[in-house]
Order: sequence, then C-alpha cells, then structure tokens
Amino acid sequence: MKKQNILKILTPPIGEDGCWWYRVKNFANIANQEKLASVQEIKANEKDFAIEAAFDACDALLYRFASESIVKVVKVFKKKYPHKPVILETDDDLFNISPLSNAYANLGTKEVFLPDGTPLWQQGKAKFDLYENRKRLIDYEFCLSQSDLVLTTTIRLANKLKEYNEAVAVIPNAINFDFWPVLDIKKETGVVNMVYAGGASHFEDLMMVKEALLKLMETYPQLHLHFVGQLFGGVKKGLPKSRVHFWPWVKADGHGYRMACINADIAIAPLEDKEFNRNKSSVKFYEYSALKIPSVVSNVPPYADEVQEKVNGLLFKTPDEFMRKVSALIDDPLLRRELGENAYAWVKEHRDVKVIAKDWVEVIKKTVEAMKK
Amino acid sequence: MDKETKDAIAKIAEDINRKRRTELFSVFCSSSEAQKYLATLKKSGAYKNGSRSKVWRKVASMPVEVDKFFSDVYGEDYYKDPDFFRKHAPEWMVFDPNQR
Repeated sequence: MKKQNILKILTPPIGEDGCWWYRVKNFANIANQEKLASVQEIKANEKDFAIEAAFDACDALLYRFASESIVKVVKVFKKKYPHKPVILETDDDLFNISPLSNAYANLGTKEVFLPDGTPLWQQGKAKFDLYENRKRLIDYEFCLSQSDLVLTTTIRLANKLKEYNEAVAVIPNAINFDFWPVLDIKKETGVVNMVYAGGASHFEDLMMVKEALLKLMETYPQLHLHFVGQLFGGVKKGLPKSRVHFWPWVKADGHGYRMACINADIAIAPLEDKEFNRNKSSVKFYEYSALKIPSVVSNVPPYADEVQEKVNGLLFKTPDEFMRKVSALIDDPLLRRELGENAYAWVKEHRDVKVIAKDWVEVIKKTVEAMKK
Repeated sequence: MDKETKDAIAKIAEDINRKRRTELFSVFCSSSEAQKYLATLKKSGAYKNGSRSKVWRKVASMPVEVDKFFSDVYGEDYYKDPDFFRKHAPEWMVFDPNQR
C-alpha cells in the first residue's frame, strides 16, 4: 500500500499570547493530535543549518507578522522554494488602529493631540516613531500581498484584506473545550458575578458603559464585577472597591480555566462601533459561551453577526439598553440559564476547534497541492 | 506564481469561506431589519417563501440595510454574480416573469 505523506507545516517561533494561541497553536495542537498534519515550530535559538533543513522538509510556511524581521524570512523562503506556499495569518485590521489602543505605539502613523492640545502621540516622545511605524505597515502590506494565501478570522476582515490579496480564507477563532471546563463551584447565596475579559486596547469600549456600571453596582449590592486582563484606572474610579475584582492575564492555555474559576453568571462585551472593531472577531463571546455564561454584547459587528437577540445572548446599542439587559439577567436566573445553554450549544456547533482545525488543514493542504501543479 | 495558480488558490479560499457566509446570513435573516421587511412583503402578497408560482414578485429593490449587509459581507460587486441570489439569498431574488 502506498504510504500517504502527512502535510508538514512550518511556523516561526510561536508566541505565548492569545493571538498566537487562537490563530496558530490551537489549530496546530489539534492537527498534530489527530494526525491531520504535522506542525513544527522553528525554535528561537535554532541554528541556521537546522532552519534550512526544516525549510527543506516542510510543505508550507505559516507565519504571523509578529515583527518586521519576518519579511526577510519570507523573501528567502519564496525565492528558494517557489512551489511551497507562504501563508500569512493575520487577525486584526492593522491599518486602522485607534490612538487609544496601546498598539498605536507601533502602528500609528499620525501624531495625535487631545482637544486641549495635550500630545497623546508625538513624534520622538516615548519612543513613538511615525517613520518606523509607517515602514512597519509597508512591511505588513508586503507580507499581505506577497503571501500565497492569507488566513484570517472573519468575512468582514477578509473583504478588507482582499484589497491586498485575492486569496484570503476565513478560519474563525475556535474553542478547545478541553481548556474551557464548565466547573460546578458553589458561591455565596445571592451573589451575582459579572465578568469582562479584555486587553489594553479596550479602554474606550469600557468607558462607553462606565456610567451604566456605576448605576448597576449601586442598584444591585449583590453584584460583583470581575475584570480579567486589564483594569483601567478610569474605569475602576468610583466603583465600590470591595466588589470589583481584578484577574491579570495568565498564559493562554490557562485562560479558560481561570475564567471558569471566576464562576461568572453574566459576561459583558461592550465594543465601540468603528471600522477597526468591525473587523475583529467575537472570540470573547465564544469564550463566555463555552462556559455557559450568558453575554450582553454591543449590537455592532462582529457580535451582531453571530449573537441572536434573546436566543444566544443579548445585544445593546446604548448605555441605557445595556443597563436594562444586564438588569434583566441579574433579576432572572432562568433567563441566564437559558441564554447560557443556547450560547454553549451555538459555540459547540459552530466554533469547536476539532471541527475548525479540519478546515484549517484542508485549506493549507489544497494550497500546497495547487502550487505543486 | 502564475495567474492560473493564483486563481486556483483564491477559489480554494472562497470554498472555505462559503460556510462562514452561510452562518452570517442565517443570523442576519433573524435580525429585526430583515424580519420587518419580509413581514411587509408577505403581508402584501408580493413575497412567497419558497414558492415557485408565476406571480410577478414586486421586489424590484431591497432595503438599504440588506444591500449594505451584502456589500459588507460579499463585497461591493456582489450583485454582479448572476448566481448570487440563487446561491446565497433566494429571499431577495427578482424574477423576470418572461423567463418563468
């Protein structure tokens, strides 16, 4: 019997943050476990000859634009192996970073001043360099246009990326349920835990509901608020200290267990309606749903594309509506349970990594075959 | 890479994307904007779900919300694909009675 060759995918050193986890490691783990493909990572301290041997042995190079140094690797690989695909994995609209996001430091291309004239981003201050950032975006654009295939998270972002490359495949973020256990933890009677998980780029989103959070905490003395990832001073200000809890990030593979241990009853995901955000994915909703936590999310894409009102979550447009919807969940444990179960069923059906990883492997495999012809 | 290979890879990507577009569309169909418009059409008798009748469907245009959604999801030129509505959104097809 003819031995079938397993697809060999090579990646540069895999980072430990959530983006690498969701976009590469999560799929790679399943592909390796299920023997759908062999995904190998070049270690950071690998010797040149070992890197060359790995290049020779692989069928495709999959990378993220983690730094501009990758451009050189892509150029060398493309030149030496014109019939092996280089595949860019990207999950954000890097051309539209908000000045209120920390990522603007490395991707912002304009100086920004507050209305009173205070500089927020100024050339040469706090290592902010417009020219370096512009060069970085040019390098990113090179990677987008020169890769043989681009993988991304949503149809909306894919449409945007198609300005640079026609071959953009959408492989949504997905949940490995082994890392997201639904735990049966007892808690103090009457306490309602509300959770928000998000990084340093979400200041504006939380400020949008800040007043509503103040009112909710005042109206419901049993309500506890848990922030996971990043706690902003401006958001925390005025909230009752004893009922506000902060959980810093843990490594991506422990994040699900940490979230489960919070024992949350309600989850929130406010998101400002702006182009950058529309091109994000609903991964927060997937994570909350994996733990059967009902979500109250902004009625804007990406959430509006996947959350069905009163079916698998609640959507809001204004802070008042946010308050009403969160209140409804605080007041009605049965509604919480129903929405949580539905959300879990949705994410299990549509965003199980064991299913999505097959698409991930399939699209890479077919691209490898197309380039061999 | 030659154009033929480029096109082949773009098609591979598009085949994978079809699943995601279907998911998006099913959620959109349940949205209040789409439901409201469909209800109006059904009430007027102009729209018959899944019907093969020869009734001239008076749907000569779509609400801007629907058009905007299609443009966002499928690109500005979505309507130029002659099979677009048959494949993705039969609800919004406009039938030519002379061809029925």
